[in-house]
Amino acid sequence: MTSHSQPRGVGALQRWFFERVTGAADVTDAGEERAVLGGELPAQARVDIYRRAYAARLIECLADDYPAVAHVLGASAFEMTCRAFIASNPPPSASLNFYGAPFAAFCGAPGRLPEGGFVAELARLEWALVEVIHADAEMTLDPTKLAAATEDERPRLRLVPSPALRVLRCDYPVHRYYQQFVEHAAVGVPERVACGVAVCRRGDDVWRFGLEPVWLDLLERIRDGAPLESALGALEGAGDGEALQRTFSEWVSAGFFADVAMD
Amino acid sequence: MTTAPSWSTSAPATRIPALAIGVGLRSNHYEHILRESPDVAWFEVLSDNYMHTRGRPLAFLDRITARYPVALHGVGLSIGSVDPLDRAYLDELCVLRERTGAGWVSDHIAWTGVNGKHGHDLYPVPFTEECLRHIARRVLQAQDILDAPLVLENPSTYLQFAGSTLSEPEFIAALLEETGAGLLLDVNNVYVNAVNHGFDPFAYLRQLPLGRVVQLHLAGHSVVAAPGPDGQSATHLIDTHAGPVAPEVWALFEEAVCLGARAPVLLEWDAEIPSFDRVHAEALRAREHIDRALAAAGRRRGERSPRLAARQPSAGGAP
Repeated sequence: MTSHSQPRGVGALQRWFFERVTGAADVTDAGEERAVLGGELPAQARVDIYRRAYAARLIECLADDYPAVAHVLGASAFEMTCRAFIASNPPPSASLNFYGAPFAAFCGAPGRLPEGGFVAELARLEWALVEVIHADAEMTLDPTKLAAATEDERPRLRLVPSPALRVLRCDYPVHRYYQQFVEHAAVGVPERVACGVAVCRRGDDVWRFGLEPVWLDLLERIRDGAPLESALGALEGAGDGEALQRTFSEWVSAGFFADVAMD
Repeated sequence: MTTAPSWSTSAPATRIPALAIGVGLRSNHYEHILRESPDVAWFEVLSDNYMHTRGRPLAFLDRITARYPVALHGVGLSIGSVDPLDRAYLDELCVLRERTGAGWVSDHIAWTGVNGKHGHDLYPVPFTEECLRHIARRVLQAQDILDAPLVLENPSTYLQFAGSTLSEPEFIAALLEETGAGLLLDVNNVYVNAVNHGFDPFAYLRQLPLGRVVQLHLAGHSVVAAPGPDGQSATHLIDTHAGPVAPEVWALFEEAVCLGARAPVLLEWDAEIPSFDRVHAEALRAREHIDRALAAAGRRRGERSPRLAARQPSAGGAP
């Protein structure tokens, strides 16, 4: 940071104004304090333009990041939830790219929303989609590196997950719900069912995969750094080798892995 | 009052010719631009959208900057804030400028937050000597980090602070003079402020150092009616960047060009964004206004040179 001294008059004015814009203070003293020039449009109404814009911009940002949550809550409840979120989470950064990061946890706080557990999981999925869009997806696994590993190397070989991969363990089928939302077919809150979802970007394309528990376990082990052989060794109930081959091929094509590494 | 900049105060070098007409780059036009390669002179890139990301927005931007010249335009520098200047923000801006080969970097004469909190809006500054010194010092600091002149935009505002002792154009002119920064003249903002604060926008233009204009902005605005103090409806304008450019703004644009603003021109369209072709067609309307303004400038020069005019043969050929 650059050293600086605050100009007192400007600083006091900015703090006074910002408290009113962000709702921390009432705007009714705008004209009385003679801080703001009125005229045809009263001083209070002028400050109010900025106050309304502050909330509107942040709600718009959250709506961009969480369209499915907005759908399941309905417009009015979504706006109320956003306003409560904004009040307790003033933007901490000059960038809005990651403003919505704590929204899933906020929605899932006990007693905050009816069906809060489902809403929070849906929000986690939507946030994963935001994160992979902004993540580096430059490197993707060259499958020939896998084939080139020697017998000695194979027990130590592990796959490096792409920075643009997110793996979520869920109590609700949010992947299925989200797909229905995209197809304009989403209905009510689904029943609980343990499952997983993987989200990944490769190039311009963002992929979303629903994962049965067995594949979720495998992918989590690989993501967490287990050598590939031991991760596969722990695999049970995945069916035949053909299913494994097909699943792996899909994961590699979608860019789940950036490279191989040796322990 | 402040130390002189160490580099030239002339307009920054650029591949974008004066009065070339560009369009603000928006994500919903990426695919059209890459597929159709429209004949656009240049794009303005909203720098904040490509900072704090290593992902898809940058990948699209790389492909577009490989084909078109660009300039960077930001909203997050908060040059007017009393918070410390954000060094990390400026460093990232430098990286983005290198990556895009942008002709210049612009932001607004405004502040966006205080006490470490961000409002993500462009808040007005008081036009006082104290504020002028404060912002000038920060502009010089920013320019040292960027190693180039900043280009500063006159923002749209909906209020003015009672303690101001300078007019807006006086404040801007002094700031540019102190710092060597360039001016991004947003003609729509001049008109919006003129209506909202009740001043003559043409007189405002005449008070600005138009030779320092590095870029011109055009945009649409929204007209809003609200209850006034006497219960009557009080109309004000909001700088929404929605819809076509208003006739009053085109007239003001012509006057700015006529008075000597010779810089690349850009249309911003940010709300209810239509197809790329519609946005581009609106931007290209600037061409007829530029031609008219240049013709008017020629006539005015002629009117100001009576001796030269007297030497021209009259229509009847008599000496």
